Amino acid sequence: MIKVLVKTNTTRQEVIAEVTETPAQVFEKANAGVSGAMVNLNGTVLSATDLNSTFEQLGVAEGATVNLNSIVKADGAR
Amino acid sequence: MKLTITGDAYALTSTIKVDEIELLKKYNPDALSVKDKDGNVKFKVSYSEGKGSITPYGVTFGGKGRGESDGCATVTGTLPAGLSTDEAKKYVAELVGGVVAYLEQLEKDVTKAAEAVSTQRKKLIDGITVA
Repeated sequence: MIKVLVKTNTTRQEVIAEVTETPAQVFEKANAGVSGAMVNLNGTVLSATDLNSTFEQLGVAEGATVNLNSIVKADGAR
Repeated sequence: MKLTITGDAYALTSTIKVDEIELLKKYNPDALSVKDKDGNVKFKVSYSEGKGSITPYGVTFGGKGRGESDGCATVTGTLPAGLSTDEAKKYVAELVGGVVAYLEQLEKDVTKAAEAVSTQRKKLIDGITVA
């Protein structure tokens, strides 16, 4: 099991997940959208393929706490 | 819940059956977790064949017990080399110390939840009319 800290522009949530789950599944559990957002796992930007890869495949070890962010940058933002 | 040390390996055997976990994963996954007052999951149990682990956030069982604990969910791991009996016991106690309370709570609830799901399914199946 791992602890995933899901952060979006407006929400912060903790989700306990299995390493065999994917970031996409965790976003679904957290009711967080990724449409038009830049998604990163511990600061590493995830591609569309990575979103459907398991945490294990993304190099996350059992017992770890990871940050999964989905950030939408509004026009003009840097 | 039972803890066993044999040679350089330890095993945690739960009273929860693997079949109960599989059933609840499919029909009532919430029953496999402990939540706080706000509804956030604090701890959960799961089963993944051959990939057992014990972490502060949950226990993933990786195997099935045999003999008197036939079908019960187990996690097996190895002990560091060179530990005395007391050191080995302390190592295992350290490893599972944080999960015991949650696991014992789930052991009480999971079996009841699995029985409820089984009863409901049986009722549903019995009620199906084959024309």
